[in-house]
Amino acid sequence: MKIQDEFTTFTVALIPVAMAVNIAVGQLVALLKLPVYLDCIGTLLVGFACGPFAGALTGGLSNLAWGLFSPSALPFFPVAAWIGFAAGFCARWGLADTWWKATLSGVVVAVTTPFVATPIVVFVCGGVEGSGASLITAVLVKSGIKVTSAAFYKNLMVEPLDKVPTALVAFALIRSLPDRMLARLPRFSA
Amino acid sequence: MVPVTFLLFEPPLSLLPLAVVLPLGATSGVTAKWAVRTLALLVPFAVLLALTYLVAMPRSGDVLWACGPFEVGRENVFLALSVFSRVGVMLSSLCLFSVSTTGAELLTDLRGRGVSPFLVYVLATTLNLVPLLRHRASCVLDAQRARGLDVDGHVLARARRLVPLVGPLILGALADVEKRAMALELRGGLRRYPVEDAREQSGEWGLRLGSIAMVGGAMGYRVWMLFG
Repeated sequence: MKIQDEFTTFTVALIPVAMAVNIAVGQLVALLKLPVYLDCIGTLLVGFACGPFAGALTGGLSNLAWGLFSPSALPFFPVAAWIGFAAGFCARWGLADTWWKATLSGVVVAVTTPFVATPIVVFVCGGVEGSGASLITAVLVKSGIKVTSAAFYKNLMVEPLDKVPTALVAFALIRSLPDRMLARLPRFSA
Repeated sequence: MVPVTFLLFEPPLSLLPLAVVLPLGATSGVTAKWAVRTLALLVPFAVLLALTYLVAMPRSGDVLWACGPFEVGRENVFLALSVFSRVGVMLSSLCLFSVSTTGAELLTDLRGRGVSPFLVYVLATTLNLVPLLRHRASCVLDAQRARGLDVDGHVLARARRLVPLVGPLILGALADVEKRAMALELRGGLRRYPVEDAREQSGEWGLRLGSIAMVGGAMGYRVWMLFG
């Protein structure tokens, strides 16, 4: 599938809705004080349904728009873009067809994300984020690990807890869409 | 100002952009809101940073302060202050932009400058949808609470309660996508708006040139420090 094939009118209409879902669900999860973010359901949904480039654009723009409400999200837009890209790539390889394959996609996204996130966390914030998960970084540093490695291991520990449920929710949402909508999604119409 | 602080990297030089950000914030007309939002982000960050760099990290350099088993080293303090100064400048600058610029103003400006209609459409729709979804989320939350949903309790119980909250919210939002796609098709896609003269306040050019000069100066300083 070519890049431009991913950007149908339906994709253009879906991207802002997915971005708004990212922001609204992220805030709802924070309200319920859950130890996960679930702020990229829309990104994974677009990645799974439309392709890697549409997913990357949704993720990147989502963090840029979120930056208007919460500026600390802004530096992490490449991470969100990577998440969408990886999800789209997994779907291209058939890893979004069943629930267990979607779980595997979540694992792939979770394992690869720290490679993009850690340099940003370390360079921009010195390895410490504003969230409580940074306590894990502190504990790892206390055990003698360097800040960069501690931030990487922290991400590796935390990301699967967030990305696997997110991938499953995105998969369930695609399955719950009516056939006429599915037929207009690039991955299903191709 | 954000690139300048990251190029200058260490205090006191990395705090130099505050000479621009603080006066702008103080005269922005939204000073209290800006200060509250910046502090709300910076205070938890400072606590976690101190915990990691001053308590958890092994002591490095002379002992500056000791309390029982804890010893705070000079280099630890310097490292923590370096990170805090950069993040402080970054968050205060971004918060100032966030509190002083409404979504509508930003979009009007972007459109006036001839930015891609796709980007303007995506940002405009998202900024309009977020308050709508927030309102819908609070309605769903209230409705589920009225049916006896308890939003407190154990983590797993709260996670289980997320499903009846998020499901209707997202499916409701996705139902709108079809209508939006049809509306776009009927309009013949996205069209570029004619470039207008963007409204600029007096002195904006001066600030812009000053910012460019600061970035250039900071880059020069970094190169000089690396090779000089």
